Amino acid sequence: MDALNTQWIWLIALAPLMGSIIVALFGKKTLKENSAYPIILGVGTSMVMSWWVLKTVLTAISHSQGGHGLEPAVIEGFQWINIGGLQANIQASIDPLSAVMLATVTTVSFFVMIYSKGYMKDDPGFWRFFAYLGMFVFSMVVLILADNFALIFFGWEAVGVCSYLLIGYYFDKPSAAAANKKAFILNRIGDFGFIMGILLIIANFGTVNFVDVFERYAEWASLAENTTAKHLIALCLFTGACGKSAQLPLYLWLPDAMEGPSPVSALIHAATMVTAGVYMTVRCGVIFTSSDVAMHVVAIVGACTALFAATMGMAQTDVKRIWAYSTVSQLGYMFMAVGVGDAVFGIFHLYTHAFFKALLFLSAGSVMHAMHHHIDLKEIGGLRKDLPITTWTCFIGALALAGFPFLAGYWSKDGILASALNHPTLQWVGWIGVLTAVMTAYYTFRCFFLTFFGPRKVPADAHHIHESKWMMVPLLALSVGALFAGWAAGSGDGHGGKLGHFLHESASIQAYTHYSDDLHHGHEHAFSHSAVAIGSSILAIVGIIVAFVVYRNGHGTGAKFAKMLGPIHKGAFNKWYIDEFFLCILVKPLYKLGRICFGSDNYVINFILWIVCAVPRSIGFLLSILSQTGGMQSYAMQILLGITVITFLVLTKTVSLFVVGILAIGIIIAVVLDRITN
Amino acid sequence: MVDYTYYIILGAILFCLGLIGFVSRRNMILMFLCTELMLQGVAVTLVGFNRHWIILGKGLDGQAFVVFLLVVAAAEAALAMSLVLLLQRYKPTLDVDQFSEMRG
Repeated sequence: MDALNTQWIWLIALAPLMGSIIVALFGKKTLKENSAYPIILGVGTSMVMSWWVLKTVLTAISHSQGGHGLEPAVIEGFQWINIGGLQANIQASIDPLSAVMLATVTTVSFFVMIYSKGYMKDDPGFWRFFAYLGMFVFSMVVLILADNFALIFFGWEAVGVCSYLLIGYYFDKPSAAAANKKAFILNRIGDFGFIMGILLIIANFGTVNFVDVFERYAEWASLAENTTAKHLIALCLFTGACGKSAQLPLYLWLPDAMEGPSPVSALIHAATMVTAGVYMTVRCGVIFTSSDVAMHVVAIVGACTALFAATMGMAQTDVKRIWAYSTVSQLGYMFMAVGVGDAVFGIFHLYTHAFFKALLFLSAGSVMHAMHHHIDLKEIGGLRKDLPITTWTCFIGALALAGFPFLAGYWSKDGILASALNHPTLQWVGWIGVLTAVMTAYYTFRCFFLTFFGPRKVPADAHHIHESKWMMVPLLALSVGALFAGWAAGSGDGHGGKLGHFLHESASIQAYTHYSDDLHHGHEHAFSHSAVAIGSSILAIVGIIVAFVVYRNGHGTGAKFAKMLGPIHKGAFNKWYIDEFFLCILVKPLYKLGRICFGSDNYVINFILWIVCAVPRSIGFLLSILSQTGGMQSYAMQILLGITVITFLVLTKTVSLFVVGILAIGIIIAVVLDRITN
Repeated sequence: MVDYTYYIILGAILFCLGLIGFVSRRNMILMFLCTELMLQGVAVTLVGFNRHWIILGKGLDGQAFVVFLLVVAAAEAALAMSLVLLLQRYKPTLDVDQFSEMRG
């Protein structure tokens, strides 16, 4: 790990930022359609460096004894905040967890950048788009590298800003403007929780450094008087994670975030940024495992979100929205894994999900590019002849998402289900996961069959149906990822294979391992890992077959099926009216409150102020009639009188009301006399 | 040596005469002359103060000041007279009361 103690590590974050700055400064006038290259170069540098970091960490682990956790490599930066006793530095630390995250994020980012070069061709804001993307990769890398809460919060907010800017990229579209506002506001609710958690940590520990806090945390949390505080800290941090990672009840922004360009949906709202919540939860392993209440909440919220989002995903007709609900659902799986104490599979699923969900979104983007920005399943269909490569890449992505045996999603999802089903108290969470797995397979292939099979439907304004070269390369590369990313696990031994052993060297993950070991102490495993694997494979295939039977020939059978379900379908189609519910209980009352505030401000306060103002205003009006005659000599008189008064006051140094009064009367008489004589 | 108080009294008398003339006269040229009178009153005061200044062992700042003042007054007089001429062309009168268009 000594090889990592070098300032060059900062290049992982700074290379995309440099690209972003160059594009922001010179993009509009000089670089124009070449704006993509600095960013691709910058993110490429990050990717190569990240893989080097991963390799170095791997070597370090193979040389160490193992079992006791690896000392994280700390890259010293400089002092950032120094208030009172609180210190926060710009400082990075690398352990196996951050190494895996770095490699995943930069790799997916790199392919999305290449894809964007083709997808955003001819867009007037080409350079702006790439400048934002570069900034996003910088922020995300800072979030991952951070070794204290202040810096992680900086990265957390910075990715939020980039997400906001990119959702509203087509800012002239009202729906996009509304969507980015929604994302921003819902994230504020989450961030409020996060910052409360951080403040509680500062209040109790006086430091924000991960190492200092985590080392003292377990001991501190075991004291009886800190019981409430430890639950509160964990729940506050989880609120932040809920906002960023779109969990119940703050998930509402993610489906709307699909208003942004497709590469953004793939990168930010599927593969990387939304997983920041999961990363943070895993990073704060000690904090979460110390509070059994928080762990139960994480698992239950995760499972409920997974199921709930899956039901909505089953009835949507907008392809990107289906993948958005799927993302919410898969993030729910990750939280479920963390909540039942199996963070390895949470991170493992994060890593495989990044590949296949990015692939699915980019495939959807490819369809959208060919269909002239039409992506609704009512308008398109039967495209397998027109878009052959996209059909295959989407097929691979869909299989991986459905958990088809030996593809990326299969390995990680099985692990999560096995851990949840073997949990001594939360077994029902596992059963929700199993149910969701069938639904996932079903809605994934519903979407796939409706897009590429059945009667050919092409919108009238899509003239030039083609697949762009720049877009096909990343699609194929990510397909390889979706096919083989799961092999990193090596074998399905129930511990995440090679990746599992690798992650276990991280102190944060070890906290979860200890929790899990304590939990299962004296409990028999109800389900063996291979049984779960076989069972869930069968369920995935059943889901795929059902989708095939219903949607092979377009909407016909599906519509009948939907009619049969009646209100259930209607509810799922309308997203269970959650948006409308919040509109009624929150938005409209707030709007009314706003009207009341506006009314009181406009009519009551302004009226009082008007009366207060009326006094000096009427005095001024009278004086202006009397004194502003336009005659030069009357002005001279007034100046003279003014000077006399001031001189008098200066000389006597006493402000006698009597004198001032006489002088004022004198002035007025003089002015009036002057006026009359004129 | 004459005490500087007399200079200041002379300056004050000149200033007051100018002031009274400025306020009471209606002819613009006369009013302008009155402002010059006020200016000269100030100049005399400055010279007077400078005498005191010299007694205290300081320089000739006040007197130098007055030289500048006279130069500036000459330039300003040229400007003011041309303005008066322009006004006279605008309205064939020099009565200042006829020019009250700029009342508030």
